[in-house]
Amino acid sequence: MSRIVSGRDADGTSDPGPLDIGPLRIADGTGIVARSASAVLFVATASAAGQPDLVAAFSAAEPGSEASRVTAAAADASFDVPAFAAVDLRVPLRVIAFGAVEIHTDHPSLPMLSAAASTSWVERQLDVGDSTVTISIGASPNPATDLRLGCVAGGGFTLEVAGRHAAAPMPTQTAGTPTPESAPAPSVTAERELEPRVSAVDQPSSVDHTTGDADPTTPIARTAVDGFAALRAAMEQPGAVQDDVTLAPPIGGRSPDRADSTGGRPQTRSRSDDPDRPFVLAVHCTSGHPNPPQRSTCRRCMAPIDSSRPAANVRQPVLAVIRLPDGTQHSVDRQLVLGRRPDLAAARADRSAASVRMSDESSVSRTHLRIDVEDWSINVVDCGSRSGTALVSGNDAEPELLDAWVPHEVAAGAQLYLGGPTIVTVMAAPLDEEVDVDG
Amino acid sequence: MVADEATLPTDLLRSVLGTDAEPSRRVRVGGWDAASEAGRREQNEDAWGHQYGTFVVADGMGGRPGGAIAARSAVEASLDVFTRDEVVHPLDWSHRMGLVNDAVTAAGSRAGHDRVGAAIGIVQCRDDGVVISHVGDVRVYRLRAGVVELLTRDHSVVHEIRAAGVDPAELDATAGRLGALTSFLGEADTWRQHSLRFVDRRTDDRFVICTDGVYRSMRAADWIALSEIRECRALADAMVERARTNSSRDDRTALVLSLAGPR
Repeated sequence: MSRIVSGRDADGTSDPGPLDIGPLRIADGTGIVARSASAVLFVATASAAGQPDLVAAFSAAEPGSEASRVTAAAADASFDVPAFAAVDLRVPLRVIAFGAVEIHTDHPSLPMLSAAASTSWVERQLDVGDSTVTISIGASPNPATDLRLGCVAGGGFTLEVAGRHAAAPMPTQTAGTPTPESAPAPSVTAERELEPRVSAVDQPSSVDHTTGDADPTTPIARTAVDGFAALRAAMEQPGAVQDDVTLAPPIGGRSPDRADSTGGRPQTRSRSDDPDRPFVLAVHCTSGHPNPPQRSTCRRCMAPIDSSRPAANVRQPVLAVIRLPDGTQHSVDRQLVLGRRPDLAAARADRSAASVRMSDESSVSRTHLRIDVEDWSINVVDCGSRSGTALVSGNDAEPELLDAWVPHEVAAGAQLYLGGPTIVTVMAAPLDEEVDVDG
Repeated sequence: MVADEATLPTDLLRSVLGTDAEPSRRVRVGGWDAASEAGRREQNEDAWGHQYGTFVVADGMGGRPGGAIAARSAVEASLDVFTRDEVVHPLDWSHRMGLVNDAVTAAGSRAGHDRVGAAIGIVQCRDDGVVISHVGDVRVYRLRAGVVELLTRDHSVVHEIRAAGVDPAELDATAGRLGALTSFLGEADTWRQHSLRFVDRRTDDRFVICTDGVYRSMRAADWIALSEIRECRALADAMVERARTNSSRDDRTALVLSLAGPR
């Protein structure tokens, strides 16, 4: 685990204590993830012509000012920029979001942060204290990746940050991939710092990622400065991706390392083995994601949607993923019934509904909660549970106790408290689950 | 991270203990207006109305006589039975929808029609949230931050087909047959498929209740363009006008309401 020391000591107000930073796991997708010595940036889509290149602004910033440079670039452009998220990895930890990107954390004060309803960016500070905080954007990440410095294509990332005295929960580094702790403090130029470093920590690597043996003039390295356009151009060049560099696979793809790393992946059926899956009316963005017919931009990747194209019937997309307290995840693409021993009849559920059995938590009723899928909407229904269900719709939302048997709309970012302490989290569906292969 | 009692947000505990919701979660109706005009028929068979925080739009079924009577009686009865108090329990709501259905049937009988029908859409803004309910194919949309979301699913044959896992495009069926309603007010049991749910609400959300004379003639580009209009009256007028411009021949009604924060 690398160690980041606060750079905000000048005003004497910030905590000088260090944060322990775990591996930066990259999720599939067509956005871009960039990492510097003290910050992480995710940009959902490439900047359009005339828009500032946020990755370039991030790359050119002095260490410690990366996030501020990105928000300044967005403000200078009157916020005509793609959705983005940034994490300032110093103390206090700053989390920044702009547009329809969602940042999820397991910090009690910040289940989700999004600026979808705001015309500017939003940001929060997290007091990590002695705990460990997981910050995630997008789909489940590829566990075999760890971006140290540089930028890669990706649909998001997951990162664990621990306070000074927290027990280190992150995987240990394997031989051959020395931790940055053993490296001197970053003092090289921005371009040098942003060499791409995505390594498979599960496998010994022959490359010393700390000393940066990779040639900084490779096409991949240039992308740190040039942003999306150069990255994509570099990836299209034969041999541009070096053996020691694992780029996140494209949408719908799988890296070889993922075949046996599905523990945290949603338990979902393949799209082709369910001919009874309902149809819904949809339009597609330029990246192939199905969307509700009235949308002009993709609800997931913000890519434009050609409004002149007629809607088509497609199989029910996965609308979200729920995460249970034990970490298991389930795709929400049909009716689900949650409880200690769920009874579909007691839940007044369809015969095609799936049971989701929860561990023996005393606060959870045998048949506690039903999750309904209605075209593009998700509704939750408390099945007359003994202890009740509270809904927290998102960041800053007040908890609402659900009336039994009355459907309540929920969306990604919501948390459901089953009888109190048992939390079920609704998360955005992985992007690769959403590419419509039938439509 | 697995939460325990100590990590529960204090707000949740306050809520669990029965304390009122914070004012920040409360919204009120900031403004509303409606536009309605007849299509090819001499008489407009759509109707709309509101009382307190309850807004209703009804669409008399064109294939039956007495559509205007059915729509008007559906609105009047809804404003009567759904504004008596704020109790929402599915059985209670269902009971009240049954009363509305009785009123529609009775109004048709008084006018000499033995078979009348109407679809209805309801938005109710309450202290504890926004309730959406509908029967048939009157739709409710939410406009939020430049995004248009359909909040209702028509009670129609085409949706039953989709729900059964069949692509309607592969069927040799006319649009009229696919659009036939599976639930409506005006007969003994046809209304029982009514829908009810709480939807998320935020300050500055706008809700649109409209009949098929409007939304069937609205393309995605029309929605995107018109959603820029902030003023309720202007938006309602523009939607009806756009539907007319796009050659809608049906009766056209749009009711727009906007939410605001607490005073």
